[in-house]
Order: sequence, then structure tokens, then C-alpha cells
Amino acid sequence: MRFVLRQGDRETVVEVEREGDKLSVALNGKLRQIDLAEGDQGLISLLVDGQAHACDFDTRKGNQVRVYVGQSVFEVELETELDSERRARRQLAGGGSGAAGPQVIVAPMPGKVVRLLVKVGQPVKAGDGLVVIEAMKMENELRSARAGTVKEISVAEGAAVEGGARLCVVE
Amino acid sequence: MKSTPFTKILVANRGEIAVRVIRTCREMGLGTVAVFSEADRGGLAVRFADEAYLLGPAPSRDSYLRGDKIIEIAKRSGAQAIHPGYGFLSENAAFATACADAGLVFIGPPPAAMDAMGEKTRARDHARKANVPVVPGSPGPIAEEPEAVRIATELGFPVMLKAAAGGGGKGMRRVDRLEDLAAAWRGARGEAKSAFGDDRVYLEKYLDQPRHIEIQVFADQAGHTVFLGERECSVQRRNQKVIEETPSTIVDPQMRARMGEVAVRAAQAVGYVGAGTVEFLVDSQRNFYFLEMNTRLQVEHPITEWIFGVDLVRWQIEVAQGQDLPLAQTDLQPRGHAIEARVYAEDPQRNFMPSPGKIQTLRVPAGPGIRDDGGVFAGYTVPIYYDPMISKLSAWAPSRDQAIERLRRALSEYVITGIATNIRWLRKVLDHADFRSGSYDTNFLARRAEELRTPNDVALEEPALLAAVLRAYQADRRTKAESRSAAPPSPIPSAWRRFSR
Repeated sequence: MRFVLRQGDRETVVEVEREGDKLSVALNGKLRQIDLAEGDQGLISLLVDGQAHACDFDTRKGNQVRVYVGQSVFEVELETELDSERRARRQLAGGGSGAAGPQVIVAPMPGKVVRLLVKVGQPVKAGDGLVVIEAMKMENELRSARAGTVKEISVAEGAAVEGGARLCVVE
Repeated sequence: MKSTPFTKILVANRGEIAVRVIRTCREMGLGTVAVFSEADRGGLAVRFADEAYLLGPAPSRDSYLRGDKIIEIAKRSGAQAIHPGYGFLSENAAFATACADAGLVFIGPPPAAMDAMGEKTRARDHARKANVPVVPGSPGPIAEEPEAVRIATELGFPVMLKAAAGGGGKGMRRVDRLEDLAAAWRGARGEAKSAFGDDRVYLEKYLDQPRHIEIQVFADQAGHTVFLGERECSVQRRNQKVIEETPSTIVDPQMRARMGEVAVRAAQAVGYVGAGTVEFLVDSQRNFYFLEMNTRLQVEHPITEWIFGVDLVRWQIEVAQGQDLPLAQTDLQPRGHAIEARVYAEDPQRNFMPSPGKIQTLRVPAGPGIRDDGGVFAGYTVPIYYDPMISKLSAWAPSRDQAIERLRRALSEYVITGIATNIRWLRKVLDHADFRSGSYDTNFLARRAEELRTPNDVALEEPALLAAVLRAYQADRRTKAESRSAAPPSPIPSAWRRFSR
């Protein structure tokens, strides 16, 4: 069975084969024999050539997975090759949106909107502060990644927001 | 002294310290009452307590700072005493007075002692009168800027401007040159005003390479006062302690005896009762100066408990009941070395931004010489309203080197997923040559910030990718197996079916 694995811009196809209890994985041109055991809370214990690794996971939005191993954390996007092809076909059919679309600013964590630093229609430069969010007694200023105009402000000062909530749009 | 044993105690706090206090109450056979805000209904303290009552909405001022409600709940539930933990109402003399007026025992010092040590300039005054060395500085709050200029010039730059009502690094400015004083004066006052509602500031000489070392003191109502060694708290980030250890690498027995004697004198000067901590700044010549007294149990109390083999919460309760201290100064002999690391829900990769949210997986370290004081569990959502500390991990071992290795080992066992934590960074701090050698001061973390960056271990990338793929593969197989079993039964009966007939 084949999977498509994405890390940033890198895309790799990985193949998994099973023979009885034995699993083998072809990754980056290397074929690995792997002994796998599943544990509590979604843990996976791997033995790769006798080297033991215990991995925990945290499923993010969509196909994003965060892997915790030995105090390091890796983020990958993963889907079956079949799903990946289907999605590509759908995107092609739908035309797909350009890379220079609107920039949607979302709350990086749950918190409270303490200050709005811009108004709708206001031009901003890259690095300009847009919204100040307070969480755990700390204020964090969210900045614009690029220049543009504020198209929308979706929250009011004083509002409590969830992580990932839409705050404003710069286009 | 007359002893009136309690049967039930209300714990006026949340998170790990509420759990910590409830644990000792349990061991003493005491009933426990928890109080909680709307954000903490699902917290561990509510589960551990015998009874639990809602205080109000999440913000502290509507819940954990509502002394009136807490007293009312204590009366209603039949508790005789209130343990305030640390933070919130623990150093609020008015609350302690209100408890006494309501016929409840506040587990802490008498209100007068809290008042005497509560405000920084007043505490310095009391310390000076008791012949306790203080950092050279202004005699009290400074009214006008010209006076600040005069005193700063007399002391010699650099100087520190500090809020009289201060704490936690707010309203504090280091001033290196006379030209910078005016701006710092305005800045410190503004910050003090907004943080404490009190804009009075005073001046202190700035100590070069200062270490922050504190002495644990304990006093009973009969007037016995002892000290339980020191805690080295110089590993700080933005004036917040991160790692504490005892003993300190620079305190020898003579210095310890002198600091202890001074701390006991400071406590006795204000009629202190219960657990207290006298904080000192120590300069590079190992001169020590009184900084302030914390009139409560400290966050980092477990390391003292480790090396003295005592339970300080039990002592607090016994002393509040009117019992004498269980041990005299000569009986208090420390053993070995203990270190504590504070686990925070914050992301060192993103400039230590807080990382509230839901904990997906939690694996807490165990094994020889390890203690975890936590208040969280898998599935728990770290709320946005309170301090981001989620646990205190401490280790004891016969020597400092072994204690460091043990704490490293335990940190490597710690798994928290779903939110970012500072665990990997803590290990990096323990590994740093400055920490290993024991020659660090309060500027250590800031000075070494670059070296303490924590990139991923690239050797683990391949296993991580393999694991992610195999997890998806297993999930896919399970889905297919389920859809097969949902299909019409096969005409050939399975072996199990045959046997079950």
C-alpha cells in the first residue's frame, strides 16, 4: 500500500508491505523491516533493526499529524496515494485558487482579543501589528505576513476566541 | 499551646497545589473541600476532594479571589480551616483577618506578620531593624524624580527601580546611566500602577551577577522557629523561576548557618508563624542581602521536603492546630541533593508563547527518586485564565550529579502531546555547562538563550516518519476489516460458532 508524505515542500511516496506479521516500509530509497506494537493512548512502539522507538501522535487538522518521539516533535501531512490522486483531480476540476489570495489571520491559541490595531480598509505593510491576543496573562501581537489592505475584521475587542478562530483578513 | 485538631479543611486554590494539599489532608485523615471556578470543574482537585463547590466564573477576581464566598463555603461545609496554597489569597492579610473574624483558622502567618512583610519597603525596614542586611537603597518609597536622581547618584549606577507593592518582576527597571533614569522612572511607575494599583517605587543598588537564594523557615505558635536549609533559585526566565535546587553549590555550612540565623531573626522580628521563605540576593563575593519574605508555602517546597524527609503541608496543618514543631533545629539534618524543574504549557520554539489547549496524551515519569506534582491528565484542557505551569517534576539523589542525571532521565520519560511544553528545553538547561558546573547567576538563561535553543533530533526523523506511515496503514486496515465484518455473514460458520453451540 502506498502513501504520500509531505513535510513543508517535500513530498515523498512511501510503500508499506505486509507478509504475515512482518511489515516492511520503503522510505527514501531504504527498505526497513519493522516490528510494530500498539500501546495505550495511541502509542506505537517500533523496533527498527533492534532500535526501539516509542512514538505518540497528535492529529491536527485534516491529514496533518504531529509525531512525538524522544522529546522531538515532527509534523507531517499524510494520505494514501489513492486519496492524494483523487484530491488532485478535484482541485484540477475546480480550477484551484492562486497562491496570492487573501491572508486570513487566525488565533494561534484560545484567548481574548485585547486590542484591534487596524480598521477595515486600512493599508498595512508586512510586519505591521493587526490584533493583540491575551492568553495566560501574556499579550501576543499578531502581525501581517505581507503588505495589503485590511478587508475584514471578524472579532470585537474583548471577545473570547477559540484557537484557529478567524480574526481578520488582509488582501 | 492548646491543640484543637481539625476534621475538615477547605483548599482555596486550584491546579497542582490544590492537589498537593489535598493529598496530605487525605494522609492525615482530614476531610477536604475544594472550591473551583467554572473553568476548573473538570480539574483534578475537584476529583480528589471529598466535597467541591463552585465559586464563580473563570477570571480569578470572580472566583479564587472571592474571599467572601470562600469563607461562606467553609462555614456551610463545616470546615474549620482554610489552606490558601500559593498565589491568589495566600498573602492577603485582609482575607486572613476575615477568616479569623468568621471563626475559621487561616493556615498561614498572623495577619500582622503578613502586613509587616507584605510591602517591600516596609519589609526592608523591619529587616534593617532586626539587623538583617538589606541591599543598599532608598529608605522608603521615593516621592519625586529629583530625589531619585540624588539617591541613585549616591548609590552609584547601575541601580534598580522597584515597585514598593511589587512582585513577579513587574514595575522593575535596571538603570545603567543617569541619562536613562527619567524614562525608567516613568516606565516603572506606570507599570506598577497598572499591575498593583500603586505607583510607589524605590531604589536599590544593582548587584552584579546576583544569585537568588532563599531560606525556608518554619515557626510554631509557641515561638519555636527553625530553618530548613536553602533553595538555589537563580535559574530564572524573566524573573520567573524555572529550575530550583538544594543545596546551593555556593553555600557552605558556615554561610548556611549565617543565612539561616538571619532568616530566623527576620521571621521572629515580625512574630511569624507557619511556613515562610526569606529570599536573599547573593553577590559574586558571596555577600547576602535580604530581598523579601514570602509569607506562604513556596512553589518549590518539594526539594526541601526531599532533602529533609518532611512534609511541609503536614507541618503547616499541625502548627495551625496549635501543635509544636515536630523537629528542633538540631534534628534537621539534610541528606543528598534535590532539583525541581517546572513544566510549563509554553513553546520555547515560539519565544515561549503560552500554549493552552487540550492534552491528548500524558505519560508521567516514575522510577527511583522521582516526584511529579501535577494537576493535569490526558483529556484535560489547560485553561487560558491562569498560570501556564502544569507540573513540577523533582528528583532526589545522594549527589548533585546523580540528581541531575535522574531529572534528565525523568524528563525524557515525560510525554505531553496536544500542547507545546518546555520539557525538551528544560533538559537542555540541565545539560548546559554553566548549570553542570554550578556557577550560574540570575542572568544565566538570558545570557545563554541562543545556546539553549532546542532543535529536533534529526536522527529521530526517520523513525517518526515510519511511525506516522505505519499508524495510517494500521488505521486503514482496521477500517477495511470493519467494513468486511459489516458485510453479510459468510455461509461457512466460524470455528468459534461451532464451539459455542
